[in-house]
Amino acid sequence: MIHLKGGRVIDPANKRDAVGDVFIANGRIAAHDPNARYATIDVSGKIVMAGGIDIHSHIAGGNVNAARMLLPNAQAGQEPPEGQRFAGVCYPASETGRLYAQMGFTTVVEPAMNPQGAVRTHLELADIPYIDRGALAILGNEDFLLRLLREAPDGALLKDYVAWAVQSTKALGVKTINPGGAAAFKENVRQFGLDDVVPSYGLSSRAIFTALQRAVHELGIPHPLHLHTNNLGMPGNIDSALDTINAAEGLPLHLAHVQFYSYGKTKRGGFASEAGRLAEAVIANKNITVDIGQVAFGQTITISSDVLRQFSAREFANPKKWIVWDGDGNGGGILPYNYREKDAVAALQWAIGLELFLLIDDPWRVFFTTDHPNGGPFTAYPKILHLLMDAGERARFMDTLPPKALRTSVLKDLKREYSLYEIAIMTRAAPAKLLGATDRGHLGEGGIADISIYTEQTDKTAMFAAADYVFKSGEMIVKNGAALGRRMGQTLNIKPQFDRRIEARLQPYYAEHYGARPDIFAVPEGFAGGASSLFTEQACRS
Amino acid sequence: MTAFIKGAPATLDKALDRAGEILRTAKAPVIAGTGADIAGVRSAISLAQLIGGVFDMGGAALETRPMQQRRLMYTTPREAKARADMVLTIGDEAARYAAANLADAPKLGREGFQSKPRIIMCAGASSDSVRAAKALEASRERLPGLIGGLIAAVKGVPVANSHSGIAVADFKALAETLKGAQFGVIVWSPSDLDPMVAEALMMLIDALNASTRFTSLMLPQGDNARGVADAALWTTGFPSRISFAQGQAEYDPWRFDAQRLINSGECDAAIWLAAFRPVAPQWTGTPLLIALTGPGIAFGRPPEVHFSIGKPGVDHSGEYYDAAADGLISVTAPASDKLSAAKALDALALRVERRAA
Repeated sequence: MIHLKGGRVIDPANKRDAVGDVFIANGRIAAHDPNARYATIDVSGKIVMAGGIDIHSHIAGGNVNAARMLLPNAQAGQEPPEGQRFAGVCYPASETGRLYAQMGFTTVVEPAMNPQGAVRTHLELADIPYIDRGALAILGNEDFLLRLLREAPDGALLKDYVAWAVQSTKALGVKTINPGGAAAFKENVRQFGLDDVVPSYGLSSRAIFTALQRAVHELGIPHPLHLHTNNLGMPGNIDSALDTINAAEGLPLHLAHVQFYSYGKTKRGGFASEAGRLAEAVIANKNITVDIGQVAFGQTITISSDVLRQFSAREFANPKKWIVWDGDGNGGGILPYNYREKDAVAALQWAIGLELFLLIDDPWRVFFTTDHPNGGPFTAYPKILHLLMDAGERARFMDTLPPKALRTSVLKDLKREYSLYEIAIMTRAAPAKLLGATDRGHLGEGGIADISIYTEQTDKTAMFAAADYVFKSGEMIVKNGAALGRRMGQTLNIKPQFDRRIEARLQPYYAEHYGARPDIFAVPEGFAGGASSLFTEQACRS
Repeated sequence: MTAFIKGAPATLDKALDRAGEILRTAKAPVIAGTGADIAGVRSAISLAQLIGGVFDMGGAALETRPMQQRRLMYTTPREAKARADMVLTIGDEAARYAAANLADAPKLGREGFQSKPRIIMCAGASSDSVRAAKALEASRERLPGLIGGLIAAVKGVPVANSHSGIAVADFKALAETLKGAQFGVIVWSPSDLDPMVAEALMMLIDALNASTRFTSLMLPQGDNARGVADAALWTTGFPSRISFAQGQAEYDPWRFDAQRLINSGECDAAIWLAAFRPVAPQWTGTPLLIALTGPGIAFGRPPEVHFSIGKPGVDHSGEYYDAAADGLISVTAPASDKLSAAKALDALALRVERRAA
């Protein structure tokens, strides 16, 4: 039993921001027990928060491995070759866990699990030490789903299939990526917007995403549908984003990495910031949550299951290598990319991300991501927190960027600075709420004792790069910024209920297309050596 | 019996002792083999890390090579079967694959094209594997000329006559045929093609995608090669072939080629892991050999230590690549008394660690 004594406890879920104590017993936050013998750790003068939660970071799966293969020298912990900036993009599992833990993060969600690759993704997640993990299953471009929707456009048949897919892949929720776009691309469609139609099915992207959104909602899946919209990365795509928000019709919807679709179009077809309009729409529509996908400068690799987008962008690969694949559902594309500070588009993307963070004034609905590694590696988080908390730091950074790049951005006029309390909402309390994880993201009694402790400093980069202490389920995993020992976490999943009659449709389909039973891609209970504690189930809304 | 020393039955304990001693005293050990399930691969990589050895297993390095090309487009077996209205196979293995798996008409794709017979063309294949398909006049030696000519013809640039023995007009006609596909698939195997030919194939596919959809189907190497490649990547960050001789993982597909290391005498001890099929190593070098295989294997010379292990998915549960799923699957099997590769390797690691301490 541990007594964390005298720190400034910032716990927005319990509306607490005061100097005080936190007690840990049996891996949970507990009330003080006068009869207990505590190991006391003096944390006076330090900041005590719940462990950080990242809802969107590509940390495992086939596309991540493809990126590792494509640029085998782009590895963490290696000095990049002279003149190249390859280091630190797709870390091996052991490094991913260690680096997250050292920053004080204790739960990370892989947002794009290909259902056909669920076994593979979960094997890799299981090898990520220290932290708990979860994964969202990608649905919305597979023939089976599109057939169900074509047959019953009201989406009546979808619910059972979605629940079945989530259960069998041990997912924590559902993501849809350019819904219909990958299916349309197989039929040689090159541009796919919200109201464009997948040729053989007669279904628009709007119809697919709203049906999925309703299914997720009605199944009681805590995390709303996680949507990657159409036209990502294209000038003028703000219209798609705003139309999508309107199409949600008040039902919960999470928009992933919105920085990548807050673009206007200049007269010459170039990029302009439309962060203001996106922020306005988010503020006005309380059913919408967003994560940012902030750009961090430097070499990275873009990993996306938006195969159409990646195909269109392939000639921008830097270095000039790429992989594009058509999957049973989404497929994907792997493109190295270098966000150079001197590049006007990259500089504007950087500014748009920060504008969105600063303009959306509700930290309960805006989430902290770089869409790792697409906007930049998650190891850039401390730097980005610094930029959010320090207008002076932003100004200093803006001075180094090409002056014309930020003409359409209002970033220089934004003086807002995030407080530690707001940071704790955005990176702890709000993501726990979004995932429906009632025992995470807070320091109230009964919560899992995932705790990170920092020394407050003016240099927020230094502060958040290395936590003084991190506890995972009550166990100290980081001390003075360095990970201790090797603790293995759990993988979160949900089990929405479904009518077994869906299996009567799945069986002949899988027999015909795979020559196998529908559970061929399933992640069984006795998975990976049968460790019974590998998975931990989260409740769905009843 | 589960263990042998120099061909004679031994207790598991004695065999582990002897194998541990070999690995502890080895200066440059190698872990090679045809393959194992994911748990076995993870254990093999941990052991390689512990003993500062090289890890190079089965077809994993071949699976990686196409992923490092200038450009790569591919699809899944299921999409190829369901959707491809035109198939071009390159080499024997691909021609055999198409004959066995792609003979039916496609079922998905643009309306009006469904259920029409699939067009299958074969290049670089010997006649017996071609069967019903239309054979292109290109021997293996002439494949670079054929593909180069096609790239030019598809892009509309002049084609010289001497490339492959195919007439200019035929190139033009062939390019038009390919462009007429709705969803064309080129089937190939990295084990069957020179890497430069594979690069050229991808140039052709990229050029075809200017106007229609074309992609490729890469045939998998056997014995969980994709799983071996996967597990190596997520555990070390690197694709196979890897060395831990310097402590940190190092990646170099030429230097850490097990066959080359053993035949050149650069390594003095080797682990041979073959969990799926009883296959003996083909190398000519004579390192001290520790083998982990199923029964029914014939070694030229009995290994120093031989552990008999079970088959994943049959003798124990496990995860490995499955061709029908085109991915890793998890197979639950009833427990047996057979050792899994992972258990044997973990026990061996404990033996190495204990003596080292």
